[in-house]
Amino acid sequence: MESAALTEAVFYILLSLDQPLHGYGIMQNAERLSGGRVRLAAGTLYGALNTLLKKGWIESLPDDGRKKEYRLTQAGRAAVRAEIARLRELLANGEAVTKGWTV
Amino acid sequence: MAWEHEKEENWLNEMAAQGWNLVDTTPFRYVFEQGTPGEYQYRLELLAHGRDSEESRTYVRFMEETGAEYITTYFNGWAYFRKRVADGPFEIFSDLDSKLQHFERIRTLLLSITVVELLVLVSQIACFVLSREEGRYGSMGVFVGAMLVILAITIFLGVGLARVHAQIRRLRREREIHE
Repeated sequence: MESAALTEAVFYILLSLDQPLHGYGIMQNAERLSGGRVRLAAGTLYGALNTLLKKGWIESLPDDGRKKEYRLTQAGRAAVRAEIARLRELLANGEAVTKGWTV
Repeated sequence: MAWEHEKEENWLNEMAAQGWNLVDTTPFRYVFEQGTPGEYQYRLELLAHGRDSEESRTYVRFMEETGAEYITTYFNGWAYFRKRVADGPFEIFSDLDSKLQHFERIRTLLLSITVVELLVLVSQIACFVLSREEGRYGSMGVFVGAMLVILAITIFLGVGLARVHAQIRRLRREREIHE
């Protein structure tokens, strides 16, 4: 199902990888972007990174012997754009319905 | 017990709060070292691959890069990690999907142990029946004793499986409404 929602963890990982980052950098970036709300745990992040690598949404940068870094691919960008379109639809519908609520 | 790793974590964290930090596990005991009370928080994980596999080495390295300290792996599967309390909250899994996957791994482990257990049970009964038919009368007492031990272990595993299954069902229900 191509239109399925991304998890919050995946969405913030993809956004974070607009610049090359290693695992810990992704955790810090997601926390910063979300104002401290999203705290990715290392095990969850590791599983998600492997899945995203397999899907080709991110790539790992050549290993220079230090911490492994990752970066978003074109396919990853497309996934982010599709998710944003989906979120816009949710937001528009949500706001249209709740607009009329007085309590 | 394998299906109560959260209880074990709580216990290890209570010990650490009192200044007793786990530094090793052996098949029969935990090894603690006295340190500053409340310095560390502990977490356990059943690894997806064998302890000495390349996959597990890569995984442990990743955990260490994020500020966790790897303590040890019990037998071939349960990895113990800790992190300084001062470095912020320490969790290994932060969403329902990854928690579910972890519980499913635990269930697979328990199921495979149960299958081996049942095979032992069946072979015990078969051996006993065959030796009887051949006229070699084994000791009934030893047989009954062995049966009771195996039965007890099977019940024990069954209870564990039921608990893990209940956790998986609870997480799946939650997953239907949020992540």
